[in-house]
Amino acid sequence: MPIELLPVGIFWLGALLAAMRHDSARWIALITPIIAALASVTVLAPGVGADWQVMNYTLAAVRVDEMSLVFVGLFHLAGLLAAIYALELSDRAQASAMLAYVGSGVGAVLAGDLVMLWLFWEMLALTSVVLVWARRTPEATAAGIRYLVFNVVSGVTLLAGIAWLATSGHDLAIGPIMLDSPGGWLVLAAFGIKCGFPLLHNWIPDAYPRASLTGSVILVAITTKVGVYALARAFAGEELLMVIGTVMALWPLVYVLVEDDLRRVLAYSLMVQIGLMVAGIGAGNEIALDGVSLHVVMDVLFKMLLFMALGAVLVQAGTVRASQLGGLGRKMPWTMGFVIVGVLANSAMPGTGAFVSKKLLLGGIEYADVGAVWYAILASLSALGVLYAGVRVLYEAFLRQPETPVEARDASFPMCLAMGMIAALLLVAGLFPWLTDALRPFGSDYQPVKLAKILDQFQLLLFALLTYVVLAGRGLGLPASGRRTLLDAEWLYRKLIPALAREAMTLLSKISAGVGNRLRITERRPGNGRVAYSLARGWPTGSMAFWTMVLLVALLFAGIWRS
Amino acid sequence: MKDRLIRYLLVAAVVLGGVGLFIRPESGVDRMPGFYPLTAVVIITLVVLAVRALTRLLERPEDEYDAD
Repeated sequence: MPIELLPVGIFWLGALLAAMRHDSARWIALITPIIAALASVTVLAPGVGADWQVMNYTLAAVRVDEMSLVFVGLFHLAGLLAAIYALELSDRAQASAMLAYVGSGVGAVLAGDLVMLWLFWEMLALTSVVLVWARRTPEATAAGIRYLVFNVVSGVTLLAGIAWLATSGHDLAIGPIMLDSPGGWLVLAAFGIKCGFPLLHNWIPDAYPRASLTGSVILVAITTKVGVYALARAFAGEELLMVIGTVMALWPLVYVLVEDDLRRVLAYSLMVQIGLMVAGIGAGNEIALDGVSLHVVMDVLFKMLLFMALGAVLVQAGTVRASQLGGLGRKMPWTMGFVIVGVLANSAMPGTGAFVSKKLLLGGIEYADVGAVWYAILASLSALGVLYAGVRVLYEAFLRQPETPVEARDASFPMCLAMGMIAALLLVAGLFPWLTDALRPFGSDYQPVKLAKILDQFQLLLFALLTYVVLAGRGLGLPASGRRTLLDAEWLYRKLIPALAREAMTLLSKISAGVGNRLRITERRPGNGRVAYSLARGWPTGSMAFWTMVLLVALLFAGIWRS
Repeated sequence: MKDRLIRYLLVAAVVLGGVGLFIRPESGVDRMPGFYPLTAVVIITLVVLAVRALTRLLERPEDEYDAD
């Protein structure tokens, strides 16, 4: 393995140590990102690359440029913040899985070709599902399985796409892929699952809210962001993505504004932000791609902050259901303070880093000559953040009077420390925007922080709030929080497809019984004297599996021998 | 309480909207005066009304998926 993959190796070594040393797993989780970050600084720089010889194939294991460095730095930071947040946690499985997961994310964004990307793609799926299962509830177990199915399907689709591209002579280096062959479409579908494209998105709101506290915090930072990175590498400027991104940003609004589980609200709102990034990738110009990179960083920060705060609420109050919360502001003042910063950032309020990133991203989309209505729809998403993050998370959990008093204390010191660090980063990035110039991989010179832009954003947010207050005053506000299920696309595979499958099985068994009665080809008389027919025998499943395995092994050896 | 909030918001909206008539971006689709106030009012109204309608359509009891 090349030395340039040292940061990944350190994360994996840390994961191994954390799995073995129960008592010190939390410290290993804390120290590993720091050492890996130091190693990154020494071995990674724009232009660095390394190949990896595996059998007769040369893999482009590492290709470093400005964009991959932004993501590498971000994943290190996310790992460090999550480790600080989880300092009181004594669960070596989680600590180990978290480190392996972050390492896989770093490996994915360093990958120089699609095969290496696929390798880390699969590692991401396998390591992250442990963080979902770590909650150790039946719901988390079931959601983890569904999560794994989606992510493994994404990996298999990616592999199929790579195989198609390879056989058609396409270069497998990470770079632009055209949608002129089924291979290109397969790769887009694989990336789309990771990003949560509409109808392929349900694993996000299904698994993230059910993951462990630390799990959900780190999950929002990496899996979908690797998808965004891959999409930006391969399909920048693909106009279809502007349409998909816009639909993706609008689709979850109903759930964001009505869901009772506030962690689920955040999971859906994650999709809104990713939709904006996907639209930016579709715009494809340098400003938009710089905006995507910067917005990924800011989105990770404020989403981690809000998930951390809700994790603290879950620990203290035992629930994150809006209908059961309220009045936590006085009991958890520090947490509420951090939530306020998170809500301001989520709404792209001037003075936070998210204002800079969102205006840069929208500036790029505007340069792509979208129409005024399209631009207005995308621009107004931050105004909707006032409702879902401000009104719902802040007001419903912290400010309003609860129906029944909720017992709670403020978050522990490590939790407050992690949240405080993120809040400080968001404010520093907003107040000193030139510091974020280093996070623009394409070096565009667009200046989003101007008096007119600041004023426009204040207008957007203020008029949005005013409109909502007037609507609510006339009885036309959002539906009240309550315990309910809102049907989403998951209904298709959790209800409709199983129901259709059951019907099909019933029909098949009827046909089978009918045909079986007619096809009495071979009569056999076993020792008990009863008549049995060859087509009615039980299937020797174990024997079939054995012979399938033998055939696959033979094929494998034949392939190796031929090569 | 709610009336007072609306009054404060209205005053702030008039002030910001008024200033916004004179300070505009130099170029781009958003240089039209009133672009953002209009966007906010229209989009928020449409979204909130659509969400109210869709909620009635998509709402099921909480145990919808219990049989999984």
